Amino acid sequence: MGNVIELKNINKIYGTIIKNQVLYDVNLSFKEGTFNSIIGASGSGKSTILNIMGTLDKPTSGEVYIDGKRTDLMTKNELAEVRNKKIGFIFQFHYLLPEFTALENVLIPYLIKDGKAPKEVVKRAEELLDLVGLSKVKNNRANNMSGGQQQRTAIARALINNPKIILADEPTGNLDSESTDAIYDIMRDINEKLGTTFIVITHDRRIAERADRIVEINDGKVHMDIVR
Amino acid sequence: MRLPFKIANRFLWSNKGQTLLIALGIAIGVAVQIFIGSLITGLQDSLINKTVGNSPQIKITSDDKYFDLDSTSLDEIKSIDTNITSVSYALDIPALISKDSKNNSVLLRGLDLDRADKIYNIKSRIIDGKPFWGDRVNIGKDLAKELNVAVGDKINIRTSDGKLKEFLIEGIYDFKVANLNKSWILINISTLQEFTKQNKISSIEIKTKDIFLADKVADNIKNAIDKNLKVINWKEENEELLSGLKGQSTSSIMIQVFVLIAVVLGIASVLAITVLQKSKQIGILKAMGIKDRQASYIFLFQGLILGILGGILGSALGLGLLYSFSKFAVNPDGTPVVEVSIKYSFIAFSAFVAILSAGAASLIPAIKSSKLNPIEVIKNG
Amino acid sequence: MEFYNKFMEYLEAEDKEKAVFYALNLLEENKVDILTLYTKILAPSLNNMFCKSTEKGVCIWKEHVRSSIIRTIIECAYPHVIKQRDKNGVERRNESVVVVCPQDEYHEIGARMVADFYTLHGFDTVFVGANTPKEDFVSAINIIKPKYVVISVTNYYNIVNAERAIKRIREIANYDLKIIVGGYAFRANKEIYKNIGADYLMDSFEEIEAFIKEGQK
Ligand SMILES: Nc1ncnc2c1ncn2[C@@H]1O[C@H](COP(=O)(O)OP(=O)(O)O)[C@@H](O)[C@H]1O
Ligand SMILES: [Mg+2]
Repeated sequence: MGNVIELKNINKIYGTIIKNQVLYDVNLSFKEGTFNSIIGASGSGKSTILNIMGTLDKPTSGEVYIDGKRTDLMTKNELAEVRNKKIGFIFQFHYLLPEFTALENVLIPYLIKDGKAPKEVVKRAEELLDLVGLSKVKNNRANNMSGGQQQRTAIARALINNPKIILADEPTGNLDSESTDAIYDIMRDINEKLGTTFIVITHDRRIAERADRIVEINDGKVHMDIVR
Repeated sequence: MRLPFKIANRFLWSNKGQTLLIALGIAIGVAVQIFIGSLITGLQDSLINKTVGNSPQIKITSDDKYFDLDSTSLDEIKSIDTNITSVSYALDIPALISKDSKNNSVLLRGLDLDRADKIYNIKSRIIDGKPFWGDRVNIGKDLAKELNVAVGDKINIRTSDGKLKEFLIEGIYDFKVANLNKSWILINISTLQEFTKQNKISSIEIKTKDIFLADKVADNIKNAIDKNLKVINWKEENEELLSGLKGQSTSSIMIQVFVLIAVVLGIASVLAITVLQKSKQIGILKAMGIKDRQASYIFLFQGLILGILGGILGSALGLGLLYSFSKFAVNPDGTPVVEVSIKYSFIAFSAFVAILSAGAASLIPAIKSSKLNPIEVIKNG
Repeated sequence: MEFYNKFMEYLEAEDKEKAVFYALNLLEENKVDILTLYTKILAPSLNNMFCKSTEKGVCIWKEHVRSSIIRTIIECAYPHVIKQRDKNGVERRNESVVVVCPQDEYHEIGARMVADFYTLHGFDTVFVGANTPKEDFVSAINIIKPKYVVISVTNYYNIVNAERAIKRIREIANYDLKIIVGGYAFRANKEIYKNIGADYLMDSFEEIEAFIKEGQK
């Protein structure tokens, strides 16, 4: 299968007066349907790479391809569409909208795309919540759920638009080991059932060692790239 | 559009206290505006009404003091301008009245009752007796008091050129203006002409539908009639009053503008704070692919919803204020101190302006939110 | 191979007693030598045992039980290793080899077999064990002064830890020390040993044998 994400000679420099180069000629590509982890010391540039892949950030130089299309030259609106349709994000601080219920949060990426969710989509959202084991709390406000529940909601939300890619930045960063295992199992399950490509930044070896591939970033470079 | 509205709504209702507070702020602004606006309009209306409401707004006179009335010309004058509602004519003769040893200088006003009534509302002003007819006259209530006379009494009237006659008091009127109540004696014009051997008249009196157009109507009349006649309108005669009223209007508008500015600033600052409060949410939404325009609609809708809420609440509050003011701020006789004018169009306008300015106030936060970069939020937690 | 099939029968039944005695008898009766036992019987039986990350539970439990059986066999085979070395007339070299599994690496059977292998070839072999934090053995490096340090990695994540260990060894060692890596983790990553600072990657006993012979010249 082809590459869903490709980074070519990515450099990232922060600051204009005092230049702080964070990424050096990063070349990375990820095959469709794989489960990948990115590891590395904090400050090594992992999140920067992930954010560039997710079109949230722009490289100073280099090319980014998502699903074969070059994104680093797209307009803000085009990028928003790419993010909405092709990419699901899971962050460490789950980032749900606290004013909305779990179910509503899951539906939001769909509503961004389409304004109104038909019955089938609501049903699908409920199924996703079921998949992550949250059917019982689907009508709870986001801020009335535990960290693990919120993170699982975020996973369901990342999946609602059937994205090809899930980008996760330390998704289990502040969860206990039991929740971490549960989250990993859910992600792996989805990867195998739906063929979604996962790229997961993690400090958690239990997740990294179960990935198909580990990319270690060190001082803004790909230091090691190992496969199982 | 649907999603931004839904989000705006949820944002507002998830923070009920803040929302209610700002809606109340807008409402008070609107209420103050409605109250002050209505009060001042009411004040001005009643002042103008008192001044010119029951008097002609345009008068045609002659330099020669008296001029001939060709009776057909009254209808001609009426047809000059559609704004003219009624035309009357009068003969004014200064005179002295004596009762016992007192002498009072008065103005004999010879009128045609039916025509004059359309201008002065004479019939409804009579507080005792009946309107004048034949050689029976009406006098004002202040004069009656001074002379200590009542309906049915007789009074002697002497013109300046020495003609003297006794008249019967048929009725006593109250024009609510002491000066008039003291000096005017109303009498049938033909009776007066006969008494004074004066066949001419001294003025033609005209009432207009819209009193503020009196000057325009007067110009039209001037162009249509004999050049020897003078046409004057109430505005010329009451320039001072008018400029006073204009100043009052200006200051009322100023007050309203400042209230509006306060409302706008209030909304803008609260919404600017909510952009900060909700920047995390906006960042998340943007990461999930909401477009900048949609994101800015969220705040636009918040502004509009607040405006509508405040507008409705404020209209109700303003109406309530006006109602209780007219109910409780009353003279001893139960009539309101100020006859406030409740104009629904003005209330609707105030509410509409509030909504509009709330919308305008939300523009800054809307623009701010559209510029927000999701990466900042994602990075900084 | 007949012996392998028989052995697997016992192993799959988790019959420790029969499996251990069967294997040791093969050695005692000289039906197989150490090399054959390790490469043709024990190693393949181990490699058949990896659980997929998705089938957990029973599989992992079985893996542990079987590993422990094999570990027992290897422990008990040590006298045979010495016997065979002497019988083969291998000269003692006065060179030592340190065999270690990096931090978090608990799969030590491969490493034990490799250690015995070096012993068979006349090295003084020090098997440090599984899950060895780097600080715990680097301090001994300059005292033991091994010619080779062998790092065995099974779980591919531990390549990362292997690298750290190598880096530390290089910092500490004050002489020309060769580092050899090997193990299941490198199967899909043949080139990675260069990136992590190792000198050689050795994946099979044949390779090790050839390498030792090469070094003797
Ligand atoms: N906006 C920024 N301006 C300047 N430096 C930044 C900015 N964002 C990140 N960095 C720097 O870039 C480096 C990499 O950061 P990051 O990608 O977040 O690392 P990681 O996710 O691996 O911990 C860090 O040294 C960080 O300080
Ligand atoms: Mg990070």
